[in-house]
Amino acid sequence: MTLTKYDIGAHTTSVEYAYDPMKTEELSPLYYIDRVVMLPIDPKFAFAYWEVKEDTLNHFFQMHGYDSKLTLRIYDVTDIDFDGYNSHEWWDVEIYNRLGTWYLRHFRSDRSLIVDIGVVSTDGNFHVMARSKSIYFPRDHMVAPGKILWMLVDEFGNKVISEIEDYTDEDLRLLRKILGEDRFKLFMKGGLDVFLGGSVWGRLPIIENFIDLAKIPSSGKLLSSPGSSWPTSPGGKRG
Amino acid sequence: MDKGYLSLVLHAHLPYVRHPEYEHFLEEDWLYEAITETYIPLINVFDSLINDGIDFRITMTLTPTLISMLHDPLLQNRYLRHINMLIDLSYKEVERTKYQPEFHHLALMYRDMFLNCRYVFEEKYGKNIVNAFKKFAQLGKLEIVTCTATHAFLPLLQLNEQAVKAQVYMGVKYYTDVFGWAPKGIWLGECAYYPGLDRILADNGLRFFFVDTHGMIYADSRPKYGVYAPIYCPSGVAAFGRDPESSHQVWSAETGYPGDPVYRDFYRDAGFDLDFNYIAPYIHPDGIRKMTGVKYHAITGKSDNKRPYNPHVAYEKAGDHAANFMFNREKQIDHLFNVMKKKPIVVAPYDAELYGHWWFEGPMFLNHLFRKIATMQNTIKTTTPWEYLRKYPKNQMATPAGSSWGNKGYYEVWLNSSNDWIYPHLHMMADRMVELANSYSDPDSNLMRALNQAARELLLAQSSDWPFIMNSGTMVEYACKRIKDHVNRFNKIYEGIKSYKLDMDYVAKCEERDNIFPHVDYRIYRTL
Repeated sequence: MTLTKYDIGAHTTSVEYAYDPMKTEELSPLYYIDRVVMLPIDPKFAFAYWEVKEDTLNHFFQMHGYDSKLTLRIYDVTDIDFDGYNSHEWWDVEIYNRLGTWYLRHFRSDRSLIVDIGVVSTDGNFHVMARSKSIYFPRDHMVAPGKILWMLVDEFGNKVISEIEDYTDEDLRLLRKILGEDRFKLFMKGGLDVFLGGSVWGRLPIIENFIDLAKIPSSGKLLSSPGSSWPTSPGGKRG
Repeated sequence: MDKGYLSLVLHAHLPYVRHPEYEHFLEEDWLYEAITETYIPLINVFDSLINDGIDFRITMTLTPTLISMLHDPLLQNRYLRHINMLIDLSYKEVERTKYQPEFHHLALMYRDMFLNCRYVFEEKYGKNIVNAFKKFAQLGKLEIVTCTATHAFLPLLQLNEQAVKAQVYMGVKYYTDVFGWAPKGIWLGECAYYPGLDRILADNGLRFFFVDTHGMIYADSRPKYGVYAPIYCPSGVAAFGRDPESSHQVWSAETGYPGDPVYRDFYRDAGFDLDFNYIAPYIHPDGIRKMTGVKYHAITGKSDNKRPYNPHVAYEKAGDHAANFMFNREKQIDHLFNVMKKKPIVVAPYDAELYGHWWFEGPMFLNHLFRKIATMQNTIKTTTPWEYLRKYPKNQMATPAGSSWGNKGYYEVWLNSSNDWIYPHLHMMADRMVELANSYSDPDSNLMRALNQAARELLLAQSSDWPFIMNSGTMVEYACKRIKDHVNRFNKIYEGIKSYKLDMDYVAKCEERDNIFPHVDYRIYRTL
């Protein structure tokens, strides 16, 4: 536990002692829809949740065979108008329930990902039940030097881009002086220790297995290759 | 000659906790403690600076949920009951400690402090201390920025853009209604930003916001001056970056000022230390011990063996720390001015409740700091972000990187195995709210009430406080209850509307309990 402004010293909460005539009811996890959603946790760590209706599941198994595998397919769609087939790369996670959650590690920050839920049939084809929105994962490093644009915004909000100049070595030296040597190195390295020792890791031992498997490089298979290993399988790489 | 600027930012926020269904509700103490230990002491500091002719600038967020509670007659009267109870306790403590000189002067201190709180709250500001902050703003000393409606963690709600827009719109509208002028700046809940959010801020007339250090350094164009000058997003909204040095000096659990051994210990409290029968009238009526705010010991060290608190020594120490803070800022700003060849702005944001509630001497520190800056040096000038932007309207253009000020800098505090279960519900609520808003353009009065109440339940469920509390491990059951209650209430109203079986008695009960934003209009969720 950490000290927060919510700490009033009581070793209980009102929930435990107080009778509420509008009593708190447990939430049903089911909304009877087909959906899959991805959220960013940090630059290289994602959370996904999904729900597939029983009817949908039965229909897909009926259509594509009862040996089909329920699967999350994650696509890297950075700077792409995704049409279902044109991702930079993709990889699969086999799942076992029509309602669930998963934590996913990926390998680069500053990327946009989409996740599909569907079934991989025995012929290797993937059949989509639902698709998430594209989610951008934050950058965890300094960008390459480029142009510096200066903007003037007046009191009323009118904007003028006033000058453009190149980012020079002198600018980099200035940033080093501004940040101080240690902090400059940390930021240049992109090392804010975002992953290591994270509380999510501590609480979810299963993820540690996942990390080991996730260290497998995500390349070497064609787009059409089916994923098979548990819990994730590297998918295809395009371009 | 001034060589640069210091912009202190205090983020004052509490989630909306108001339970008319109970006479006493533990979690309402969050507000009462913050009024007694943080907000009124800050008001007293600002008043004293003004009375003594000390020029200063400070920026504060007053979040819509906090202002709503400070405006609420039920909570105002309950605060009066609370402070009267503490005054009663303090008189008894003066008597009890009369033969204990090491504690007696502290009992007198608390008596005077609680009496002063009642005076400031009731007589000076008519039970509404928002008026005090408004006065400081009108005097040009304080810049008040707004926040999203309920301090939502927007990067995790971005899937439904209309829900994000509604959070920002309500934050601006509520502020404007309360103060009579529109806010120039916003504190994004948990300092959490994602690229593109600034466009929504710009659409709502906002001119600046804050990001953590790495949000600036990892912007999509290298920031020439690091975090020591704002950047403009392409939308024209400015982002100010958090200075890591000044933050660390105050925030750090190991080396920060608040951990000094002579300062008052937060945990040792009369609510736990004194005989049960004696303290019973001043803790929860059900006999649950809780903090009273009457604390007699100094931090001393890591052991439980604590020395009696000495406020005079602590006061001197707060002065030393203020001098040290100012010295470090002078050196920092002098260095930055020399290398940047222009005046830097050092932005130092803190949770307001750090000052006074956790760090009892925090308001004294600020009092010392502003006086020293005004009278003992010529390097630093205090400013506010808007004052700075008016003076320096030309800045680099870049979009900050996604980030927050939470542990490890991104979104993990608000999304991990302790709280991930809330997001399927929050996202579904937002989608359903948009569906309702798009479906009903001309509702009758009952349907209008139901739709507006659905909007309130959604906004309240979106507070970042609930997943934060689940992650922190303190008062978790209450945070879970709040999420479940708002989701259930929303879903019942939604289903009632969709099935033409709206239960207006139920809607009325929800209106009574979750009465935030009385003028909310569900049409803020319309996308068509």
